[in-house]
Amino acid sequence: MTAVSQTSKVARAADPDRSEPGDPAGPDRRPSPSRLGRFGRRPGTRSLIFWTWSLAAIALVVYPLALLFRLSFRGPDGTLGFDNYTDFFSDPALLRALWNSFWTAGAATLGCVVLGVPLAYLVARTDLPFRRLVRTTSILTFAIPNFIVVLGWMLLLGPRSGLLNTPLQSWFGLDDGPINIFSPWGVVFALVVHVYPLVFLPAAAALDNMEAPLEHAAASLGAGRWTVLRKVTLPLILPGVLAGAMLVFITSFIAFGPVLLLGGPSGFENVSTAMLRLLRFPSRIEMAAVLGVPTLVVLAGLLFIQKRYLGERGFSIISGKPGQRNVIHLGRWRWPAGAMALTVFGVTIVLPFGVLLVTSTRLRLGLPMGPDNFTLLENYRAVLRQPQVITALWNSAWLSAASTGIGITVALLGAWLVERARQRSSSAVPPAMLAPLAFPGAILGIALVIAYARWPFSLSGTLLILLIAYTIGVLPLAFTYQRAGLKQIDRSMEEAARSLGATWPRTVRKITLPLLKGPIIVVAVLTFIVHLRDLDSSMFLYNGNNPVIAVVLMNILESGHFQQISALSVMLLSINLTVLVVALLFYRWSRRGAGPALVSH
Amino acid sequence: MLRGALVASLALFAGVAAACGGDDSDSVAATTTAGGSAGTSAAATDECGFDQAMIDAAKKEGSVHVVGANFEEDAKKIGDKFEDAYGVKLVYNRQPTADAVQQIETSLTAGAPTVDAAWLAEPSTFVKWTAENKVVQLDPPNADAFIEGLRDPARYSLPTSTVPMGVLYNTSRIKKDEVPKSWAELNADRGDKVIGMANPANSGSSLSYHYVLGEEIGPDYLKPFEGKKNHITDSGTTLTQLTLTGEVDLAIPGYESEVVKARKTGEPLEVSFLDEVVPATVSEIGVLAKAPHPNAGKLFAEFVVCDTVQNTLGKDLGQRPVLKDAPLAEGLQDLSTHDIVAPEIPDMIAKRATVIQRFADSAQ
Repeated sequence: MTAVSQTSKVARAADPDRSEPGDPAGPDRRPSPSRLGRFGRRPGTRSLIFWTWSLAAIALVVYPLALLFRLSFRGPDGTLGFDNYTDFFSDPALLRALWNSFWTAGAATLGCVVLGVPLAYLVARTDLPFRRLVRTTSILTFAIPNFIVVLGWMLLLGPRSGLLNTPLQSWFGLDDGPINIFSPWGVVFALVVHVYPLVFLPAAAALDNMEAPLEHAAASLGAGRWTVLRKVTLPLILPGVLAGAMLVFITSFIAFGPVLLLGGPSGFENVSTAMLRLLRFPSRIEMAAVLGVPTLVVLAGLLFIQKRYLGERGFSIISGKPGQRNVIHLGRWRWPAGAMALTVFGVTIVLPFGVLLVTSTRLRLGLPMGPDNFTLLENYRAVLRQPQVITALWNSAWLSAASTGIGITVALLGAWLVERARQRSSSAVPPAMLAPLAFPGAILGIALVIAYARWPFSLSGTLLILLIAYTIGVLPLAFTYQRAGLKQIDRSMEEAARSLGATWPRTVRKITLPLLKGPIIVVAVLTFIVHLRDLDSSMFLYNGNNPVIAVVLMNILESGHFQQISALSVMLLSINLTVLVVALLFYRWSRRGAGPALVSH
Repeated sequence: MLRGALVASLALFAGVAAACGGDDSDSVAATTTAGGSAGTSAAATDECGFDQAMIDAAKKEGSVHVVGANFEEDAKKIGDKFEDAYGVKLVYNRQPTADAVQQIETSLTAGAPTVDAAWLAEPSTFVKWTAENKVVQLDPPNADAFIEGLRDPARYSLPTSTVPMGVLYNTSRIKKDEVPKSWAELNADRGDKVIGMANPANSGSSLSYHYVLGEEIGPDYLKPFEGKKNHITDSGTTLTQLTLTGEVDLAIPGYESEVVKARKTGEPLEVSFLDEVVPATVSEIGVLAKAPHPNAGKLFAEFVVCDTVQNTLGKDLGQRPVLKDAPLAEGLQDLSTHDIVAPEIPDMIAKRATVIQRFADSAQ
C-alpha cells in the first residue's frame, strides 16, 4: 500500500465524515448520484464551460500552432515533405545539445526541489525567523528578464573580475577566482536561483492549505514527527511539488539566455541555443515548428509520468474541517535554519539585484568603483529621459494585468474540466494548456504572426497581438497551479453546498474560489511579474509602434548602456515590489471575517 | 574571389586617405550636390537629387517603417533629418540582424508585410532576397559616388556605412603600447591573456571578421588559439561588457563605432587595428518588394546614402561613409596605412560553414 493511501486511511480514521463511498472505515454520507447530477455536471453547465474553454484554447493555442506545423512541411523551394524534419534531426550537434538539456534540466529541477521543499516546510510550518520576508520576496526573482539576472551574476562571479571572486582570489592567492560562472554548472546555478520559486511557492501553498486534523490523526496514532512528515505531509503536497518540478524541468530544458551567456564561453549548447542557430542562419522560419518537437516529446513524457504517478489517488487536503495547527518549534535549530533562509534570500534576491543597484550608481563601467565614479541618479534620469519609457511601462502594465486575468480564467476552466467534469474530452485539456511551454517566445511569435497578421485579423504590430502572446504565456503556469489547487479541495464540500440548495455559480463563488484564492493570487502575481518584462515574444512582435518595457530594456542593452540597464532593472524591481505588497494587502483584507482559515496564512 | 575584396579594400583605403582631415560639418552636406544623375532627368530635384514626384508620393504615404541592426538612437538622428527634409516620419524597430530577418520573413510568409526597408549589418541576406525577388532594385541619384567595389549590382541593396574591426581593450587596464599591433604579435606575446571572441556561428560581423582573416592571413590563422584561454560570446555587445569589466583582456572583433560611442560617455574603451589586415563589416539597406510604403521606403534608403547623411555618419554613428568624397569624422582613426578589407559576400556565404568549423576547432 502506498504512502498516500495509508495517509488517507489515517485521515479517515480520525474523521469518519470523510469516508469514501463504500469504505468500511465509516458510513457513506455522500450525496446520492442524483444529487451529484446537479453539481456542475448538468450537461448544460458542463457543455457551456467546455465550449467556452475550447474556443479560447483553439484561438490561443491550437490555431496558431497548427499553422506553424503546417508550415513545417514546406521546403525552402515551396514543395511539401519532411525535409525540415530530416535536416533537423540529422544535425550532429543536436544529440549532444539534447543530452545537455536533459542533464541541466534534471540538475536544476533537483536543485529547486532540494532547496524549495524544505524551505517551504520551514516557512509554512515552523517558527523560522524571517519566514515572511523569504516567502514574500521569493517571487521577485522573476522581476527582470533572466538574461539581465545572468549579466548580474557575470559581474559577481566572473572568474577574473567578479566582485565576489576578486576578494577570494586575493585571500587565497589564486590566479583566477575560485568560482567560474562561465560553465555548465554555472548555468545550473543561475537556473536554480532564478526558478526555484516555481517549486517553493506551490509547496508552501499546499502546506498552508493542508488541514491540521490529518497530521493530528497520524500523530495521535503514535507516528513521530518524521513519520508524519514522510507519510502524511510530503505525499499530500506531491501534486503541487510535481507540478512545480515539471515547470522547472521544461523551463530549464529550453532555457536560452543563461545557456548562451554562461555556457557559450565553453562551447556548451542546449537544445534551445542549437535550435535557434539552425533557425537563424540562414533564416528558415519553416523550421520553427520542427524545433519544438523535442520539447513536446519531453513534455508528453512528463505528463504521462505525472498521470501514472498521481493517477486517481486522492490528494484532497481541504475538507472544511480546520483545526488548530501547531507551529513546530525549531528549538536550537531555529537560528541556524534562519541563517539558511537568509542565505537563500541573499543569494536569490540581494546579490543579483544588489549588483545591479551598485552598477546603476556607476558613471563608467570600465573604471574602478570609487567616489569619482559615482552618481546617485544620473543613470535613472537618463532612462526616464527616453521618451518611450513611460509609454512602455504603461503598455507593459496593462498588458500584463489583462493577460493575467484572461489567462487565469481560461486555465481555471481547463482545470475544472479536468478535475471536476472528468469526461473523456477532458484529456485534451492538459496537452493544450501546456503545449506553449514547448516553444520559446520567439517561435510562438512566429506562430502568432502567421495566424493573426493577415486579414481578417490584421493584428500585426498591435497591442492586441501582444495581449494574445502574453495570455498564451500565462496558460501553462496558471493551469498547472490551479489544477493542483483544485486537486487538493475535497469535492464533498462543493457537493455539500449543492445538496443544501446552493446554485452552481453560488457554490463556485462561495466555496471553490475562496478555497482556490491562495493558488490564484500566487499565479496572478507571478504571471503579472513575468509578463511585465516578457522579452522573447515582445521583441519578435514589436514593429516600432507600441513599445513595451522589454523592448526598451533590449535597446538600452544593445546600445551598451549597462548602467542604464541596471537602473531600469532596479525600477522594475520597485514596481514589482509594490505590486507584491498590494497583492499581500488585498489577500489579508479579503480574509478578514472569513471565519476559520481555510486558506493559508 | 579574393580579388573583389581586395579591390574593395583598396578603394576604401583610397576613400579614407582622401578623406583624412576633411570637414565633417553639416554645411558640407548642404552645399554638396548628388554624385549621380540617374532618375533625375529634367524633373525638379532637391539637394539629394531626388525627383519631386517621388518625394510627393512618399509624403502621401506619411511614414516609413524600417527594421534594422543600427542602434535606435542612431537611427533616430537620421530619422529626424529625414522628417525635417521630407515630412515623412521614420518608425524604426531595432533588432539584431538575425531577428530582423526572421521577422521580415515571417511577415512575408503570413502575407502581411509591415516593414518597408531592412537595414542590416550582414549583407548576405540581400543576396538571397534579391534572388527571391523580395527586394526591389535601387538607383540612387549619386550611384557613381560610391566607393568602387562596395556596391554589388548582383544584390538590390545599398551599402550605407562601413565599420572597421580590430582588437578591443580597456585603456584603464591595458596600456596602449601593450596592445598587439599585428596578428603575429597577438599570438607571440599572448601569455595568459584571456581573449574574448564573438562566435561567427551567431554573429554576422564576427563571421565577416574571421572570413577575412582566413582569406588574408591563411586558413591556419587560429591555430595558436588552441588550448588558450578564449572566452566565446554570442555577440559583440557582450564582448564590450566583458572588456569593460575586465573579464577579458582583449576582444575580437572590436568595432570602431562602439569605441566612438564609448568615448562620448567616458568609458575607457579603445580599438587597435592589425597591421596585416583590417576586416570591415558593411551595413546595407534594401527596400522590400511588398513594402506597404514603397515610395517612402525607397526615398529613405536613398536618403541614407545621400551626402547629407553620409557626411555626418562618422560624427553621429561612428561609422565610415560609403561615398568616395565623404569626409571622415573627427575621432575616427587614420587607417591610411592599413589594408581595410570588406568581405566578398557570395564567397563568404559559400565558405560560411568552413569558417565556423575552423573557429569551433581552434577557439572553442
